[in-house]
Amino acid sequence: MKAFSVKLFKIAGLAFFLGIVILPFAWMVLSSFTSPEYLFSKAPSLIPKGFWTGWYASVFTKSNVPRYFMNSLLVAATTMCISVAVSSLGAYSLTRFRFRGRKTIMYAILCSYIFPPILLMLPLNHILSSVKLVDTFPGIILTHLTITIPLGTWMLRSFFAAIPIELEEAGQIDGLSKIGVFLKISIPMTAVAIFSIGLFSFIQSWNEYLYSSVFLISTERKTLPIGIREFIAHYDTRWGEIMATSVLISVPVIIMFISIQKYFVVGLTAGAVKA
Amino acid sequence: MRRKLTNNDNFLGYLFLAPALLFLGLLIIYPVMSAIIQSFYNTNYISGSNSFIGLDNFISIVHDKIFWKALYVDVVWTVGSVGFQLLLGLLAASLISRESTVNKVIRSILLTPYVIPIISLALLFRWMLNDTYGIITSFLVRSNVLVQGGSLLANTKLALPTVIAVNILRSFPFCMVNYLGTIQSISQDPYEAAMIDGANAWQKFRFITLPHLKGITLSLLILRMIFEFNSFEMIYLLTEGGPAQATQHLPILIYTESIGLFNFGRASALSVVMGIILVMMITAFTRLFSRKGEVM
Repeated sequence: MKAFSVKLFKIAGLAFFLGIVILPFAWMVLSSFTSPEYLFSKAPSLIPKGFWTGWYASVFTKSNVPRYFMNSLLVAATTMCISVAVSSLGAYSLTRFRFRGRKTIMYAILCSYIFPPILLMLPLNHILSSVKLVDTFPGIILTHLTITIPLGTWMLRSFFAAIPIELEEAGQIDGLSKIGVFLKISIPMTAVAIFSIGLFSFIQSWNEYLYSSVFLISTERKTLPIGIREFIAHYDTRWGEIMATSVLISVPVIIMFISIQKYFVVGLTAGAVKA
Repeated sequence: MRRKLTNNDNFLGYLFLAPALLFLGLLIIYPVMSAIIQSFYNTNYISGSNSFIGLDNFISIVHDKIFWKALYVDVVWTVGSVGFQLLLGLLAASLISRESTVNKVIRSILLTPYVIPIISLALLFRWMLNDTYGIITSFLVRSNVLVQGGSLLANTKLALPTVIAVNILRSFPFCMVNYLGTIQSISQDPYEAAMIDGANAWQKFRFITLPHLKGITLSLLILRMIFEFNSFEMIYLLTEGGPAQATQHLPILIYTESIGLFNFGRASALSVVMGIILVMMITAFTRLFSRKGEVM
C-alpha cells in the first residue's frame, strides 16, 4: 500500500513536470501548422486542425528570416571558433601550469562569468562606437565572446584536470616540450569535450538577445532572435509566422543539445560546483 | 635559453592565457572602469550635455521613487524566481535520480526550456497569454478568473507573478541538473542500511539525501540570485516592464534610461549601484567557495 502511494506520487510528479514542459512546446508546433481561420479562434483547443504549412512558406519566401538565419549561423560559428581556441588555451594554462597570479586570474574569470550583460551593455556601447564596430559582425562577435570565453574557460578546466597527469609526464619523458604535450596529448584526449563546449558557445551566441538588439541595427546584419521581432507590430502581430520562426530557431539548438547532452550537463553543473 | 623558456611555467602560463586576458581586459575590465567614470557625468546624447557633476546622479537616483519601486520589483522577482526554481529543481531531480534510459530521456525533455532561445519561450507565452486568441487566456476566461479581453500580462497585479512563473519554467532545469549531479554522487551504503532498518522513501530522502544537498543548495541560491537579480531578457520580452511599470525591475530601468532616454550618465550611475549590490553577492559567492576549497 505504502509502496503504491509512493509510486503514485512519483507518477503524478513526473506527469506534472512533463506537462508544464511539453504542453507549451506542443502548442508552439501545433500553432505553426494551423491555418489562419483556426489559429485566430477565440476558443482555441488542443486538438490539431489539419496540417497547414502556409506560415512556413510565408517565412521562407516573404520574410527576411532566411537572411537572419545565415547571419546567426555566421555569428555563432565564428564566436564558437574563437571562443574554443581562446578558452582551451586559457583553461589548460590554469589547470596545468603553476605560475604567479594564477588564483587571481581564476577569480577574475569566475567573476566575468557571473558579470551580467545588462551592466556591460553601456560600457560595451562606448567601446564599440569609439572603434566604429556598432552594427557590424566583428562588433557583435566581440560582445558574444564576453559571454562565451569566461564560461568556456571555466568549464574546460574540469576536462583538462581529468587527464591523468602520468600521461603528460610520460610525453615529456619521451622528449615532448610542454607545448608539445598540450598539442599532441591533451588536445586529442579532450577533443570531444572541447567540441561540445564549442557547441555550447554556439548555442549561447545563437540564443543571445540583449547585445544583438542594441548593437545590430541594419536588416542585413540582424540575427534571428532580433529579426523575429519584425513580425510584431502594434495592430498586426503575425503570430503564425512568429510560431513558425520560433520552431525554426529552437530546433537546431535542441538537436545540438541532444547530441552533446553528456558534456552539456557537466558544463552546466560546472557553473555552480566543480564537476 | 629557448628550450628553457618553452618549459617555464610562468612564461607558458601567461602565454596561453594571453588571448583570454586580452579579451577580458579590453571587453570587460576597461569598459567597466569607463562606466564607473561616466556615472559622475551628466552625459546625454540628445541634449549633448557631458560635464562632471560629481555624485549628483547618485543623489537623484536615491530620491527617485521609480528607483525604489524597481528595486522592490527586482527583489520580489529574484526571491520568487529563485525560491521556486530550487524547489522544483530539487523535486524534479529526486524524481529522476535513478539512472535509467527512461529517466535520461525525461531529463533531456525537461532541460529544453533552459536550452532554447529565450525569445522563443517569451513569444510563445505571449501568444498563449494573448488577450484575444491565447489558449491560457481562453481557459482562464472560461473558468472566470479573467474577464473577456483581459490578459495576465496586462494586469498590474498579475503581471509580475506571471513573468516569475514563466521564468521558473525557464530556469528550474538548471537547478535540476545540479541537484541531479549531487544526488547521484551520494554513496549507496546509507540507503541500503536504511532499507534494512525499514525506513520509508520519505525518511530516506529526509535523513540521507537532504543533508547532502546543503552545499549545492547554498551555491545555487547565491548563483541564481546573482543571475536573476540582473537578468533582463525574460521580463523585457514578456512585458517590457509594463503594465504601468508593474514589472519594471532594475535592469529594465537601466535599459529605459539608456536606450530609451539616452541618459547615459544616469544609466551608468544606476549600473554602478547594481554593480555594488553585485559585488556584495559575488563576495558571498566566492567566500563560500574558497571556504569549502571547491574552486581551486
